[in-house]
Amino acid sequence: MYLEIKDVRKSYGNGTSYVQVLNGITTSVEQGELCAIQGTSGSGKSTLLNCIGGLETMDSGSIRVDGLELFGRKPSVLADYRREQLGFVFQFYNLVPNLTVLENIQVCQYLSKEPMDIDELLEIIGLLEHQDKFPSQLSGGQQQRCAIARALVKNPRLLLCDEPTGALDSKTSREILILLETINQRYGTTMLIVTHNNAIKDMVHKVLVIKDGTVVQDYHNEVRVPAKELEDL
Amino acid sequence: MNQVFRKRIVRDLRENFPRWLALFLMIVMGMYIVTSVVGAAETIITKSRRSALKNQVEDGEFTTLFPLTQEQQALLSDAGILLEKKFSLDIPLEDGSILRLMKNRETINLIELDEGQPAKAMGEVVLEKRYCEEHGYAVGDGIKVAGRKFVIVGIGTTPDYDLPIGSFSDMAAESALFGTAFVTAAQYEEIAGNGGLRSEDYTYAYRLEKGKSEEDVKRELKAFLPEQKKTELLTAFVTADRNPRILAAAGDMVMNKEMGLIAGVVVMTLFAYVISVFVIHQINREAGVIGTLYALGVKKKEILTHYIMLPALVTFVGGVIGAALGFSQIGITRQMGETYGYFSIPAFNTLCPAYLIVYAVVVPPLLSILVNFVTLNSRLSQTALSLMRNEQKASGLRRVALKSHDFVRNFRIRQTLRELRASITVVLGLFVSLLVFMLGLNCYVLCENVAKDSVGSVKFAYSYLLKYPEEQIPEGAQACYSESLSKTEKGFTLDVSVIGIDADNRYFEAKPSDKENSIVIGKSVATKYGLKEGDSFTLTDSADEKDYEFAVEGVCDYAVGLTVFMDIDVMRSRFGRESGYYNMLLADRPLAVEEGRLYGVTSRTDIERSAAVFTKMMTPMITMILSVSVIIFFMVMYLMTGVMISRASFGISLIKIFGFRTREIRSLYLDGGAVTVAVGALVGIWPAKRVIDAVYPHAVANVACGLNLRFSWYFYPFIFAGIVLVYLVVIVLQTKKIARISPAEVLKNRE
Repeated sequence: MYLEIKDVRKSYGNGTSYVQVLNGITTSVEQGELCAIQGTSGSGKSTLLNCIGGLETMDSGSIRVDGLELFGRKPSVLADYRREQLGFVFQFYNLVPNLTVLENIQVCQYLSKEPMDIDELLEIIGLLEHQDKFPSQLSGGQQQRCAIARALVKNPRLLLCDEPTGALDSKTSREILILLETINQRYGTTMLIVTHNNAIKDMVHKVLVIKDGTVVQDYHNEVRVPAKELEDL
Repeated sequence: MNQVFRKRIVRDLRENFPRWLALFLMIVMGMYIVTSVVGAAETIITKSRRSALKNQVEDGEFTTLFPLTQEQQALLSDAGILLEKKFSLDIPLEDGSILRLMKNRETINLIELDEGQPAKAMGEVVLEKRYCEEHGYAVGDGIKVAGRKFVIVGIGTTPDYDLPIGSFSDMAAESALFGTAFVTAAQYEEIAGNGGLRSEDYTYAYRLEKGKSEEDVKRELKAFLPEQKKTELLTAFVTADRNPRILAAAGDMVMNKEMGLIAGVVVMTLFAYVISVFVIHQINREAGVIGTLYALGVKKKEILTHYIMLPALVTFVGGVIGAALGFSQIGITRQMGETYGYFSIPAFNTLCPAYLIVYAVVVPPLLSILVNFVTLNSRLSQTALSLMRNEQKASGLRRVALKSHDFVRNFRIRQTLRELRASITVVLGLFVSLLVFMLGLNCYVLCENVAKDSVGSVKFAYSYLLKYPEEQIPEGAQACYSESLSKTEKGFTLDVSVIGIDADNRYFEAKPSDKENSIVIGKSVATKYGLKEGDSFTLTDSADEKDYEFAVEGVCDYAVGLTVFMDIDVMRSRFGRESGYYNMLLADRPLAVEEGRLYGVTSRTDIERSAAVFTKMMTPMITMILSVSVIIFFMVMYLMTGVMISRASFGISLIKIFGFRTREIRSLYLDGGAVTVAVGALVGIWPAKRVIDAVYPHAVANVACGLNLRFSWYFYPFIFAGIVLVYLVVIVLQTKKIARISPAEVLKNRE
């Protein structure tokens, strides 16, 4: 099992402001799987993703990624883990405004010993001809593509996407999902996608639905719908 | 560092070019001033010490009432004390100046010629350079001295007249009125032998063999000067380190050097902090990006290095260029011009001390790195998530509940609290500017007060200092008894005149009692040494190796040099003089005193002219200091209000959409700053004055004048008004910036 999550608990605050966000999450994801994490606002899906990404610490439980236990690790170890294994894509693209597309991707290229070929990546994400443009010269979809490329250039084994289509229209959302699907198929990258979008659940291998910090559904799709055929995006 | 980030540095620089350029120019200016002031000081200190050594500067000198005999000189020589006569004649010239005529030097205090050659024949003279500059003399010109015509064959300096003052108690050098001249021994004897001139001064310069000390000289002198007459016969004994004429330029520069280096660090720290405010602003804007990069595995060290790099580069290049300008002709050389225009020292080649190069090149970037590291470190220590959410520690101040329902007032308060860092920088900048301003203002005030107090306290028209007084006091004159003692403080020895006066003396306000050891001090002494009634004041007779402890019984309105007053009879008895002795005459009109009896004559006009010298001499420096303070204040103010507007651009665009006019927006966003500045000024002016008043005595420790640093009350509102005026100019400039903010543009950027 590539990703194993056991009884993960996480809370914020204390006294009257105490909130139990994750209340014993247990699940697992195979290498190369596309997994969608769904739930309403405040259900704890982003917190779970952040715990998997080592951006937040859990109160108890266990998360093992490719055999590496994350619980109780020092921030520096978690930083190295992110550097070596993870790619992150967020709803807001957070590109460096005064670096070009190519340079924004290059920022993360040096983090990996075996980075992906940038030209190939640019071609896959469809930004080859825009590589010298600055973020302000790109559309939202193009900026998100660039953010995905930046996350992928390190050649990560696990890609965590937090609402990657949250700020995009349906046409551009579809393009992004096709891109993620292509990357998954081509490179075997394991992907966890946190999303509100109900349609996405049909394109992934596995679906995890969280409510009030607990897993209410955890299943594999027997038949997947390709991203280009998804409806109601 | 990540190669890609380097490209970004260039773009950051280009995007914010005016801001970086302004900061760069400030650093260039700061380092230019520091290197030129400190470099000039170091050059003068090092080179004048070398020059003094090369020219066999004396270890000390003593003056006797009568020349020593050959036998007495031989005794001193046998005791390892090398002597050279530096007898002199003070000769008044037709233009009103005094030329101190001496023989060529052979072994001690050698003449260093800037041009020409030594006087080798009758009718040839070498003149001191400052005197020549003031009078426009050049080699080959003629000059009439003591009724004889001379050709100026050389122009130069001697290490024993580094500060060309006639008397140790002179407040300032006035080369228009006093200079030295050197002729052959034969020429000197010929002039001295013919009489009709002022009394000859019998001063001997000495150099000590290894292992000998000043005590040995005094012991030898004691051996052949009868004890009871020693005070009378040995009229002065001054070691080189207490001689205000020797290495005076170097002494004057020590403070410049220290103040320059400290001021450099203070100003550079201020600008490093200003820079850090910009960088923090940039980080806040880019928090999401930084958080994302953290999430992707980029480490804090790399981000920190990236944000520190540009300020470090700008300050480094600014420091290098500032130092290059400082070391150039327009730097140290120009700065030394002021010293050359006052002290009599040889022309020195500029020195580029290694520590100063290191200081100029290292201090600005180092301070920038340190300040930025401290200010950025905590912000960048936030987690990736909190950076992405752009969480900022909200202090209690920002959440303060405001009771007033006045929207505008509340908005301004919130804006000020939101911009607390920039507001603190403004107040810091204001205070540093005020310190610099007060330094310049104190300089001006001191010069003005010295002039005003000196002139205002002189009631006599003429003062005659006598070497051989007549038994009969000339009609219309008031007789006094004057002794010159010294006081060493803060490493500098200054002469203090003790004047014995009668109870009916009409020229001095002081009325000293007949109590033994009681003195009335002039107000210049009171301010210089911080004395008041009831204090004790110890003066030294270095010739006699005696300390005199006096009780201050009052302060009088007399501020010419450093003077204290005693009852004349008490003083005669204290200094072992017979009843009726006097050596000073004061009068309302010129007296017919034989020249041969005189040490010197001082008129009220001389004192007035002398008092004005300070202001004239210091005006360029005062102007520079005041200008620098205004520039620092303006720049800090301009840059900080700029950053406030930039941070508030989203809000500004929003309220523009609501229909607010530029003037109303300015009122909301910048008027709170005006209050900060006004309060900062109100709170800061007085402490800044107090700080500089406390430091200032060290800066003028080598100047024999009072320290009246008080200025009229109306200076305070003027300073306050000046500060507000500068802020108004800044507001006018920044209003244009507010007007340029486009609502649509900013809202688009926000997305």
